[in-house]
Amino acid sequence: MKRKIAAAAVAAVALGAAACSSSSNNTPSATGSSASAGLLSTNGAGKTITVWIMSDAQKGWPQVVAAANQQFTAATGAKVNVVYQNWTGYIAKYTSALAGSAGVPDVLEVGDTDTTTFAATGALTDLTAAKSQFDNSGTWLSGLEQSSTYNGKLYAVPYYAGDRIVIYRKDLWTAAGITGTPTTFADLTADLDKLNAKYGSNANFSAMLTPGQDWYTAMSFVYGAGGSIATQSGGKWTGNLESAQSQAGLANWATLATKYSKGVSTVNEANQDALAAVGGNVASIYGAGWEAGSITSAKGSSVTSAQLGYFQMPESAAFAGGSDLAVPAKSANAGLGAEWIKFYTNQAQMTSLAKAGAIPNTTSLLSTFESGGDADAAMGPAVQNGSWVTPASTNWANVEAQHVLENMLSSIATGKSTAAAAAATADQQLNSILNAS
Amino acid sequence: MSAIEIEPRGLEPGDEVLTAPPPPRRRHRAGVGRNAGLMPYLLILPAVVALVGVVFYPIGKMIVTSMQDLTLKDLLHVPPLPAQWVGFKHFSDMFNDPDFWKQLETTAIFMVLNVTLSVLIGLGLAVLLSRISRWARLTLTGVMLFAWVMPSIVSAQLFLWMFNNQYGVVNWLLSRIPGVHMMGHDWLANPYQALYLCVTGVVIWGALPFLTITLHAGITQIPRELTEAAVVDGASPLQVFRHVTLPKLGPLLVIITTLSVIWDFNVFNQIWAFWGGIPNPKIYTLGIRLYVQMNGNQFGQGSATALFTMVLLLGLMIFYIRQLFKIGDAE
Repeated sequence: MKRKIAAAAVAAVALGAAACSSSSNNTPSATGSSASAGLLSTNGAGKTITVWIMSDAQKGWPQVVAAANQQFTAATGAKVNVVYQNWTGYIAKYTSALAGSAGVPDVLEVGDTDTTTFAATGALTDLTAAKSQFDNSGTWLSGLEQSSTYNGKLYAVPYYAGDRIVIYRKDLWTAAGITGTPTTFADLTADLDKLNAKYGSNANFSAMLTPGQDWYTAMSFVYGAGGSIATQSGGKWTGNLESAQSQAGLANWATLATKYSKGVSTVNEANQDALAAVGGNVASIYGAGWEAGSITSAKGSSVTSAQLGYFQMPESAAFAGGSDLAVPAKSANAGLGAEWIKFYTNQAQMTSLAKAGAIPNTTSLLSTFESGGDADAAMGPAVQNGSWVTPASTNWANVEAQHVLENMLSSIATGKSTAAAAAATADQQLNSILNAS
Repeated sequence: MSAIEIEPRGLEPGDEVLTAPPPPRRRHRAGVGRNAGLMPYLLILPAVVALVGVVFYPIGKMIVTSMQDLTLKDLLHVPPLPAQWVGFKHFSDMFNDPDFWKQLETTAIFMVLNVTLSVLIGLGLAVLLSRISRWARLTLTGVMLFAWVMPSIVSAQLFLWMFNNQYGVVNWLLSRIPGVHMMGHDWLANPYQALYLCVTGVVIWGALPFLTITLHAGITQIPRELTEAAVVDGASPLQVFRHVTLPKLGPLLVIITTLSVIWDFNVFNQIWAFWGGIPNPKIYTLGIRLYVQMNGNQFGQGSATALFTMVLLLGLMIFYIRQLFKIGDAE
């Protein structure tokens, strides 16, 4: 009798334990969506996660997305619904998605200049506890890692970086009598003078096309000279464009924009590839490596890829542009989303990404990237030799929305204002916008 | 003939009673006046629901937001943050901001310039339409309709290409005039020139079709006898226009001028597209100010700007509605 009762008791406990453990396994990781959890989850049977990444992946490295999806589904049993986004107006779209309560995606690709803004609103999941579970987290590119960190916590995983180099017409440069590529700014202006001497009679000729609203380029010179957009001390931001180093950098940029560039002082860099594709009007531009492809493949372009060469812009620091991947705090499958990011940014996928022509998120794979071609070989070192990100302020998005830098630069490029005066106005605006609560 | 008196006799059994038809009662139409019942309210319920949802609720929310300090953090924070009320601070900040008054001035000047030019040119074209042959009128009307259906962003982009400093057709055409050298002239270098010349051109180009066709319709309603009588009395064409056409067009002119004022005050697309999304701060209008604030996640301040613009234009609407009632009464 006692044995039967004991056996029944054991059976009851065993059943109860099994029931309890299986129900805790079935608990959806929605409970993990509280800001501090960030635990990865592999329990995805019967679920589908929604991933919002930019269409660059669809065009540039679809095989990476496919491989990540396959590995993720094999490990978790969850399906992946990838919805490709466009950069234009994406902040407004993300804001309305995150403000709602239903249909919040599980993974977001965010431009690295905007990650801090979203992290500061408390809308992203804190991933600090899981950082070591992401491949190469010890060798992430410093610019991207900086953008993903807010108040000492990790809110996103670095994805890929962009970089800018000088893309120049080897045939035009050689015909102007230039040999080799410049390594200092003085050498550069000397070369550009030779180009102006040879082709200056063409009213539309630009030796170095420098659009007046291209703040990425201008700030590359500012940071390259040791200046910065704004500095922070004790929680207060101060605009730094009037400092001596920033002014030196701006002076270099202003030289390019006024003396060696024609007709683009009031526009930004969106059309510079199209302008460079028109015959012999443009001898060089400062852009990302993929823009070479845009120039040669533009409709009616007479430029071939054999005519294009690459070198690092002297005395400038490359802008650490790029993207990070984040998990919204309101996501119903935060653990699965983080798990997907782990697969998407692992060693295998990052190697594949580097071979596809994007700068991977880790310094350990830069050599793989650089072996991809002349443009890539020039871009890799540029990433390592000092890169900068925009001030990690929660209000940076407002600075961009009010176009503080573009307005400053185009007033310099059109000659309406001196660099010092324009910088003073911009610093005033930066002080009020960045310090707004 | 003497009247024949017929004594009314009482009813006797067997008489067929022929009574006169009863006097007609007040006709009872179901669903009208006091007999309407719930029917009218039920019929307009869908429209009211739609109006409340699409117009009144957003306006109410906007009024509430204009008195709050609402930023991106308030919108996205998990868990949700309580609302922060600031009363009329946004409005007082707005009225104390010198940029706001400059922007209001720019908007007003732009509006006056556009309304004046478009109504005058529209009137001229309408008179032209009434004088030309039928096939010419149909052709011109057809062409204008094409101009009218083109989205404003598209037309602004096309005008931008035409005014391009290096490859634009306007500079090329102007340089064909002997003595004029416009090749390479950057229309955007002087933002006032770009706004009051180029963007005004886009706006008027898009506004003319409606104004012309409406005014032409008004002109065709003027009785021929009036104009013929005036001509017979020796009036010149200009006097006919001044003393016959214009007075008759009066009410219509008031309506379309009011509409033009409202539309031109609110112009946004053409200015935005012409500058590629980054307008020069010197020529911000109230609409651009509002967009920049909303895009910069300053929702409270943006709502205050929007509310001010709406109240201002509502005042102008009074003219429009009064005129509508006058025309309705005349009918």
